[in-house]
Amino acid sequence: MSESNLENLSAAADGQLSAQELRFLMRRLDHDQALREAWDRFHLAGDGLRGQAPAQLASAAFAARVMAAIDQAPLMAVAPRRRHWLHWSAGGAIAAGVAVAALMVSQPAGHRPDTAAPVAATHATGNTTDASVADVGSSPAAAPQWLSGNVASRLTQQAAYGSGSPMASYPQQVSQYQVQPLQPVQFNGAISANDARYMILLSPVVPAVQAVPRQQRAQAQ
Amino acid sequence: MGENEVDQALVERVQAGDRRAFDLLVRKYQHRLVALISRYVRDWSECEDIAQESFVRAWKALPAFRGESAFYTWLYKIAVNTAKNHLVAMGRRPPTDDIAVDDAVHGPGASRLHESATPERELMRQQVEQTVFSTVQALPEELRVAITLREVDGLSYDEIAEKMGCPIGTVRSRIFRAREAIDEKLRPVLDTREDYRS
Repeated sequence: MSESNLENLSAAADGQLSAQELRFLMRRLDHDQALREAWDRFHLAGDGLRGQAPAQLASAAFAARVMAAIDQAPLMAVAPRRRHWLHWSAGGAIAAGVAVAALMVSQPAGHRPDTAAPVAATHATGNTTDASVADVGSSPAAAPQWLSGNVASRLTQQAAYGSGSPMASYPQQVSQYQVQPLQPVQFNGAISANDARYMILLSPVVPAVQAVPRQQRAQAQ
Repeated sequence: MGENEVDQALVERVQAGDRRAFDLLVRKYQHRLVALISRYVRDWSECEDIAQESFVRAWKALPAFRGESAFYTWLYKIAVNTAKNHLVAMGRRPPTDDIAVDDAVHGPGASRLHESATPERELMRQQVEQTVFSTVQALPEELRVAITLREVDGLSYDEIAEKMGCPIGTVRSRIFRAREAIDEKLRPVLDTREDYRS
């Protein structure tokens, strides 16, 4: 344990060594037990000078035991650091994917009679809604035609359809839900009939039940 | 460079695969960590086992350490969790109140520590502090001022050089000579400490 090594050790304790000097000191420490113990005492002396000496000192062989235990414990694999831009673009891609999927699911109109995929047509066994659902499920490899081509512009156009138009022409082949004509809705006058033209009401196909006004029911009872 | 920067430099060396840098971190914080754990666990041999486990956990997790907090703060949390897990595993109830990092070794909460400290260990602590104080008081003024500005006031070498009106190399040399003088007196004191394992 030379004096110059000790002086370097003292400077290292204060963070005053260059990277190269620190690397050299590390190599010295590897072979110099006395130098390692001096490092321990330098810090203990600093604590003592500040009146902060720990009330319990670790035993002399403690550090050696820890390092022996560490030899049996491999370092955890370093996970690559995520870049923020990558994180956000991945999130954006997922969000965009979900949005597109939601649009696809909510656009049964793609199966118009005039554009229906031939494969699906060949499997069609009936004209009922249930049969159509089964047909779609039985041909998973066939990409519907409405998915190909100018899908984005078509979806945009569909979103712009008004209350009087082609909703009625949407076939009920895919969904078990009936597509009802758009109806103007008012919520305390907050939304006008024009605002409501984008609202699509879907309801399951169930036997029509005659609605009985509450007043009539009360009278019947 | 402050304590955090020194630690960060060592942490980066560990993350680059230098095991010896971790040895320096262990040696630097071993006493503080054992003292911290002794405030949760009374049995001394258990304290050292838990401190050892804490260091091993820190070693394993160090590649993921981002330096967002100080290394000792991070190590402190690992040690407290390890101590609490130990108490639960032993069927004992861990304390609900945590010890603040600043009070972990000394400070207002130290009374609980003293409950578990044996008279011999408390005597050792007093001897360490008295030895350091008396040695520093006996140092030549330029050494005493340099080491005090560094260790007590936490000034950098640049700042000390400016205050003392001397080159940085001289500051470095004075601080080292002061440490060397303290170490000469401290070593025999520490050699008398108990070691339950060896």
